[in-house]
Amino acid sequence: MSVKGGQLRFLTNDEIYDIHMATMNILEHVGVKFQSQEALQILAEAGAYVDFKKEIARIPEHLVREAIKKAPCSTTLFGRDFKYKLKLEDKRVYFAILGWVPYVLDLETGMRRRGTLMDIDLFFRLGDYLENIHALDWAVSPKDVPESLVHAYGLLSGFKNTTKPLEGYIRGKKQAEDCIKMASVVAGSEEELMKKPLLYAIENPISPLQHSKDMIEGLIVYARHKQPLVIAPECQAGTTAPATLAGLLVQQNAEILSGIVLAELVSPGAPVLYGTVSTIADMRTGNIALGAVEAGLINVATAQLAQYYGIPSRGTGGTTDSKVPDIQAGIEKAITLLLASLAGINFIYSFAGTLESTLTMSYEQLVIDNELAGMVLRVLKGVKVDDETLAVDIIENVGPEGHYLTQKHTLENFKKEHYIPVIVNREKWEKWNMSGSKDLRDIARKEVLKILKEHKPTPLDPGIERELTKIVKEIEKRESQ
Amino acid sequence: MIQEAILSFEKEKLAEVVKESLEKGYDPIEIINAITAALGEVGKRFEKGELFLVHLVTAGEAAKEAVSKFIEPLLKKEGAKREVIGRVVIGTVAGDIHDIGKNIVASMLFAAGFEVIDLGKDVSVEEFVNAVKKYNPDILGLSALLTTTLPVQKDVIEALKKHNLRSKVKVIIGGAPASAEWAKEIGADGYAEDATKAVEVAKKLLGDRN
Repeated sequence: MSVKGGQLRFLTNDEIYDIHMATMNILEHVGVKFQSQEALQILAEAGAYVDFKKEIARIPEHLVREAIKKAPCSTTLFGRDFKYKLKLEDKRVYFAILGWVPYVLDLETGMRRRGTLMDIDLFFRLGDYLENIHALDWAVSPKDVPESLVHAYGLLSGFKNTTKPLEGYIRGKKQAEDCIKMASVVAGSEEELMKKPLLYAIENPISPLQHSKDMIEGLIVYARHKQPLVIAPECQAGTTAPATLAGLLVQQNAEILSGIVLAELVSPGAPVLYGTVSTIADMRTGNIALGAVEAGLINVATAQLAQYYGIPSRGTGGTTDSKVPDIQAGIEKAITLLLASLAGINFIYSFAGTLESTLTMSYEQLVIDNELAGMVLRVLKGVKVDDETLAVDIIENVGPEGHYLTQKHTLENFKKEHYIPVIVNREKWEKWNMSGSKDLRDIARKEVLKILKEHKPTPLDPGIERELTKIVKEIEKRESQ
Repeated sequence: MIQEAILSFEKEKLAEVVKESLEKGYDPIEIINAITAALGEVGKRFEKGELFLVHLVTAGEAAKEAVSKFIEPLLKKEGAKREVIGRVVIGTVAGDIHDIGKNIVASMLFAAGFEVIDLGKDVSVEEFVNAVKKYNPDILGLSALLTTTLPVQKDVIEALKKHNLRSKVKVIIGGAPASAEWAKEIGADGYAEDATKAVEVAKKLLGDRN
């Protein structure tokens, strides 16, 4: 199932080293703000220069080197049945949905509206079915659920509706512990969960150079429980990071490495991912521009840096600033996804189904993105050259004037070598015209309805479901007090 | 057995099964019926998207070979004939040696129960006219891939008119640059954008003719 990227490199080894050295300088002399006395205490004890009042830790190079040494070069993320697994390592590439999106394009009206708990269920079911989407998340922030319960409802829906790996909520100690408790039930025990992680969690440093209180609390919980922890800043070149991409990479590197230092101090050997959500700011509006081609460049460089440190990576790709599944969405998604994938980013999040720099989710776009992901995975496989694929005997056999449609070689190889599209239309004008001149969004919508009607996810064990529901009820009670 | 052999998509397998069946004394007509039914199944699965062009053509070619090599000679000896739904003369027009599309269409038409006389590629206007005279087909199929050879389809139709043959045969055109619009413009009876559509159009034209 997994395919390796890594064919693409923009930075030379010298340039990577320049970025590394500049980062060490920033970490040691400028430092990073940690909004947590507990985190500052841990860092101080390890040898960082800490100003507890200003909440700033200056981190010497040796702490970074030790952390990198402790961080595993490979981590496996499991689905609830432990059969579906993602090996986050080397240059393997996997694709994911995302969470927290406030808006949805309504499947009936096509208009933008707030997300609901029903959307969460449906996106999980759709994502469970789609072959090229490997990890899921609860897609939207539901307006019909209090913020204090989203993590519990979201995770319960995830465990019920998919066997693919899920995100754990990271904002706050309580919420993170709730998620660990629920995942432990599914895994069988906390020990089993630590051996076979079911959750990934994402800590987003606040650029420039800060780790927020709630995120640090969650980071500590997930690190202690050995669930893959992504440290992914969202630097915006020109506003929250230098306008130059190299400068952004230095600042981003300092933000990521400082998070990794904390995680490895809290829990040596904790699986971490070197991550990015960075891009440029649109200098006309100040808006974030996740569809910008520079996001693709930043992902390539981020992959190279992660590979330099020998740590798995998380990036963005297949993101867009368009508001609907249109040509702009197609251009921006294709370029950024291809760049991140070719560079060998292991875990490409913020991607499937997203529009408007991840402010809107679209069911149709998710199905379109599954197709895009399939195409990109085909690109990563490249051109295989061996005796079988060179096909000299077959060419000789067919000779001039013949054709290959009745060759056994064709029958045996076409599916291995060609990506067979699901929704992309390759008919000629007449047939296309006869079937209603549908554009891709129309076709995707039909496919969404078909999947939602037909696909039944593998049911969750009723005993486990009862147990999870009980935990959710307890959380409801606790939060209503 | 026949269905299984065809769905294995191995040419040799069907030939073997047909040979064996004939040796065992099975009625050749029944064997043909079984082959036709199996090809129908392949077509159905193709329409559903479960099978691909390579399956369609491989099955069609295997059937064609088994029928023409083993069954038709036997029928001829017995003074009988394979029952066909119509006769098609087909070819790629002069100046054009692209024939994969034409070959697929010929194979599909055969599989659908037509008798197919394939004139090959780079076929001159004259050869088409002579073939219509000689074989008296129900349908004449003209293929062209190049925009530069597309006009030859028109030349053939004009020549048929000149020889008072136009009303005797239905003309169907195909090829990447062709279109329904072009078919109308040159006075062809039908246009098909792909091989399965070609069978559909050919059957419809046959109905119009009868």
